[in-house]
Amino acid sequence: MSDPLITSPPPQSPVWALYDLSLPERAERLAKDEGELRAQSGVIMVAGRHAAQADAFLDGAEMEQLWLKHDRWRASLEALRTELASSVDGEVFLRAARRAVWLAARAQEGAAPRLIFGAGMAESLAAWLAGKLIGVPCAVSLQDDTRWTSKLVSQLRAEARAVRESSLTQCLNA
Amino acid sequence: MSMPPQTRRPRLAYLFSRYPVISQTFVDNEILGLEAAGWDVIICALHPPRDGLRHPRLSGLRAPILHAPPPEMRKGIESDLIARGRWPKKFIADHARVFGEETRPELSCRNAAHFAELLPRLGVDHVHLHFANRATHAALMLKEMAGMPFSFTPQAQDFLVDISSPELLGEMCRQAEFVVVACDWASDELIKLVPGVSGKVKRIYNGIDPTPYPHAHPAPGGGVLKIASVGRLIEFKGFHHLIAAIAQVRARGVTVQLDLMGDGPWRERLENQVKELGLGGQVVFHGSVKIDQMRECYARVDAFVLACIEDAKGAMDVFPTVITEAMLSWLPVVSCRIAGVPEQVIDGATGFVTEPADEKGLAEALYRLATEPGLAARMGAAGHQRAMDLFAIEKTLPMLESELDRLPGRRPAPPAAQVGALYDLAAPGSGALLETEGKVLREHQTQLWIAGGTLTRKEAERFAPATSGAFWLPDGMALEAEWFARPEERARFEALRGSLPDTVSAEDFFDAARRALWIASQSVRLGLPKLWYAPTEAEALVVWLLHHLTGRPFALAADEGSGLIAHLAREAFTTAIAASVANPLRRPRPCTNEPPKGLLRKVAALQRWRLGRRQSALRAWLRRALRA
Repeated sequence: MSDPLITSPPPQSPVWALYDLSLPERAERLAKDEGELRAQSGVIMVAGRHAAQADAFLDGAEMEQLWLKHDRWRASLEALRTELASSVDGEVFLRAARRAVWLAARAQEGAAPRLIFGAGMAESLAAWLAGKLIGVPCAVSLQDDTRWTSKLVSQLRAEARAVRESSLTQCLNA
Repeated sequence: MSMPPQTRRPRLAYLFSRYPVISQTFVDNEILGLEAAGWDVIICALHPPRDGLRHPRLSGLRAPILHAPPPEMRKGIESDLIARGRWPKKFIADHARVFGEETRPELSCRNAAHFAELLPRLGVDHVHLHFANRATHAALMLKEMAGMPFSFTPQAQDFLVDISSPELLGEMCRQAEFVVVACDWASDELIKLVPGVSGKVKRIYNGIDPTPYPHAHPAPGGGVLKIASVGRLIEFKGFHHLIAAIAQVRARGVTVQLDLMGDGPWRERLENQVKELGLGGQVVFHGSVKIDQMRECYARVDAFVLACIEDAKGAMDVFPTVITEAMLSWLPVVSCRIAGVPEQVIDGATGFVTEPADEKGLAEALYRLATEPGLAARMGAAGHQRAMDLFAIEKTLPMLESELDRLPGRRPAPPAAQVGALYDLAAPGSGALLETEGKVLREHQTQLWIAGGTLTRKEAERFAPATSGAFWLPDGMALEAEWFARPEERARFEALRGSLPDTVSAEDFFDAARRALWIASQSVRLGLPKLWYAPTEAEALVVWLLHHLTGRPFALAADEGSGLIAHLAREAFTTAIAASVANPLRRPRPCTNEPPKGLLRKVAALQRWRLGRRQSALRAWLRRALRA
């Protein structure tokens, strides 16, 4: 992760916000957050299933192609997986890693975000990994699931630009 | 006259701390060689691979690869064994007292516990290991818990530097049926440390399959010598000495062109050294390369050099496989008098052996190879002959086989599985169903597959008894390695995806596909069951894919709620067995399926009643299905 492809995006760049709509409560969370996100020039990205509000859909088939294509990113993420060891389940990590590669590839194609926000733990993991690939900070939501290990939660808390407590706007502008 | 009992070759398990490890070529060669010689092998791993890379040669493996359950479940198994009075508490306490708490005997016991249940059921008679490490410590526990004999091959670094207790090494050697070492030097070192075991130490060189190596034609000329070197860019590989030697040879009018293959923490330092010495045009850093690229390089160079040394921590190469590979490629080898290297390279005959860190000596060897006509070719031919005589797998493997042949094959082969079932413990309700249905499935020789790595301690303790003797899906990284190694199957999955409703997300599909590919790959090697079974919707997609991969029918027990289940069920009904068995679980006869009225308000009792009904329905259903 020593040589990110994109560094210091300009401050006017958008925030990318990731919601996995296949997970519980995410659709409701997105509905609540949408107004604040739009006010912050947020780009809404969804995974799991489509949503009318979304600006982009992380399609699994496309993710798979990108994952197979980007050897170097893949190697970096696998090395990180080794570091994390049993603090995250392998299949869960690799799903987030594939999303991270999709996000990184998207950032490489056009305007990189100034911040990547994850709406829950699964999305925060993907946002954190994508941020590592392209040198963009992440903002995370850590409160939603007891299955995540405290080691991983602590790592995300320590490395994120901001942790969402209640106000999304505050978190995105931290 | 009484006849001697009929004996058969023992069924072997190789137990690794981590598997596969791409750099451990000699281990894979050994297993592939044993399989080619007709041995029945199972591979067991305590930990998943670190990356998704897998050597192409592993596609030739017939051995199933079985992974230990995730760490939390190992604790669950410990609790279960304690409850059943089968946890070797006294043995662990004695072990800690004699060999030290720092050897963590309870951890090794936890690592061994799953395999102590599983391996006897699979008819395994003997376990072999490489390295005197945590896995070999687990083998000690396996012997205590399941009476499973073992042997092992310590390499050198493991028993000279890494092992925390020399006394524990002694115990490993004493308890092993035999101990293999990779060279005479390692044998001497081991016997120095554990003098009483010399009788069971066997020197067997690490064998290599010679067939894929090129026939190089070393012919340096015009004051140019092309050389190759391979290894991690770390101190004890001695690349800094080789680069310094190249500069010295240049001062004598000879240009040495080095192809350096490998990566590592010393890369920047070595690149700076090359710049400082003005060798920019002479040294090419290739980084990590695939084995085919390495062989292509061997085919076009004049010599192979490995200037290995011992570093400050005592780490060093002991019997470098890359040297044997270069010898098999008809290349002269320049290396150093360290550990087993002089057993590989004969100074003045198959190459040159200098003192470690002797840059002048290295430079002289390179100069002679570059300037003495025909020397490189003569040494290369002599090296090839030596490698074929001593290090080719055909020569080394019979020595290991003769040790293994002395062990009796005692356990009966396991009966063929009739049902293959998958339970995803992370899916709601699946664990409870496993507790209920597991008893029934075991009556039918079931190949039980368990997924769901993220368990709480409480869940692990609850489900441990039901998962005893099951096959665990490994960590995602192992699934990933299999996925990468099988491009044809990936394409096949893509076609299958097209036949599913749009409501199935591609992410879910590919997750299921990776699981199915893993189960199918291992199941073919373990023996395919007659029928696949998914207890809930969470496992249905995997089982449907297994049906397509293996050609065996499948059955579902999910409620006909989602579009996916409706879609998959249509196919399940088209097969002869599934047609007769898929329905009863979902539509049991109403007269026997109505709960007694008194239970309706007692949720837990109702749940138990329902599970009980399901158990008897499954029993009847399987009986009919397997008769069909």
